[in-house]
Order: sequence, then C-alpha cells, then structure tokens
Amino acid sequence: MSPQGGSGLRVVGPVVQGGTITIEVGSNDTTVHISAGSAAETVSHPVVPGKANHLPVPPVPGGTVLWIWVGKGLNRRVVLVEVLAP
Amino acid sequence: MRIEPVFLLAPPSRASGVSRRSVLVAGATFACGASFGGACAFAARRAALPADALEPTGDTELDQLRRLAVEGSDAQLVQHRLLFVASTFSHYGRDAVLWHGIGRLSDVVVADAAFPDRARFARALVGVVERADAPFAEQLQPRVQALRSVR
Repeated sequence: MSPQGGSGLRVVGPVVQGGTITIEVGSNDTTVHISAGSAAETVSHPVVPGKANHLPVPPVPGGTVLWIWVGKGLNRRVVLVEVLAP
Repeated sequence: MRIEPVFLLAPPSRASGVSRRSVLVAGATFACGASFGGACAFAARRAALPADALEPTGDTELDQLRRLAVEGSDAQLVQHRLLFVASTFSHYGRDAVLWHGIGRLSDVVVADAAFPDRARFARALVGVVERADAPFAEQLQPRVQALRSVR
C-alpha cells in the first residue's frame, strides 16, 4: 500500500484490524489524532516528529475509514485510512 | 438556331449555418438562465439554514468553516473536504450550519464521478453521519444509501 498523505503527515503501510498504524509527522507536530468519525471516538497520541510512530489501531470493524490528523484549527492536516480485516 | 437566355428563380437565400444573432441570443439566454438558476440554488440553500447562519460567532475558525459550508462553491468545499469534515465532527458537532455543509458534500460526492478518492471519502462520510448527534444524523440519513452505493 502506498503512503497516504503528505506534507507533514504520512501513514505508511496497511492498517489492519488489531494491528498498528505507522505514522510519520512533520517537525512541528507532537500529537496525532485518530478517529472513527466522532469526537467521542477520537483518541490522541503523543508522537515523535520526524520518526515512524507505531500507534494502535482503534477497535473498529474492518472496512471502517479512519480520520487521522495533526495540527490545530484551519492548519489541520488530515488523511483517510481504511482499516482492513485481518 | 437562336439561343434564348433562361432565368430560373432561386429560392430565397438563407444564411447558411447559425447566424451571429442567434448565437448571441442563445448565449444571453444561457447566461440569464445560469445566473437565475444559481441564484435560486443559493437562495434554496440559505432558506434551509438558521437566519444567523453567517453571523460572527467570536470563533474565527467556526466562522470560516460556516462561510465555506454556505457560500463556498462546490469546488471549494471539495478542496477543503477533509479539514471541513474533521473539524465539524471533532469540534463543532452540534453546529447545524456545518452539518448543512456535510449534506452538500454528500450530494457532490454522489453526483461527481471525478471526485477525488471518491469511494473512500463516501465511506468515511457514512461513518461520520452515522455517529452524528440525533438531529443531524436523521437529517442526513436519506443520503446514506446513496453514499454507500458509491464505488
């Protein structure tokens, strides 16, 4: 699978149910948010800028599309990633 | 033998093809129709919204997102779709004006085969709509089936 996103936020590799998400963020971002599509189902993780960060895939059914973003307000960068069934 | 000239009457000449006047009339008619249609669509969009939809709220981000939802063209809404939707469900989940924008985006993704990353975005929108608070989820529910059918 090709990386999703660019300019400060990249998801590398497939995202499999129960696995991990590999995320690379830009130099100014220290937190990444992963959501199934609601505020209640959004989790935030501290991340290390400029490195590959391995984060747990939220417990969602296969086929769910996750919203992943860094930054705040109108400077938010967002990518969509589909969770694959194992 | 004497040769007499014979004059045949030709049918009245007609300008071949399309006249300049007809092109101008057709163009003007199209322009008027498009303007009128656009104005009607804009008025219809606004009619479904609260009267204070674009009043300043004191929150610059919300004001800009609301303007995008109401006044932004489809192209602008599509261009900023990820930021718009993520901001709506994560920070402004009870703002009717922004959910109106999500309804517009739903219609565009269903109608436009060239929508970027169309199938994935449509599925992501389904997830957002199904997780929305009751009034907004109910309002957008009729669009879910069409979103699910996007391939």
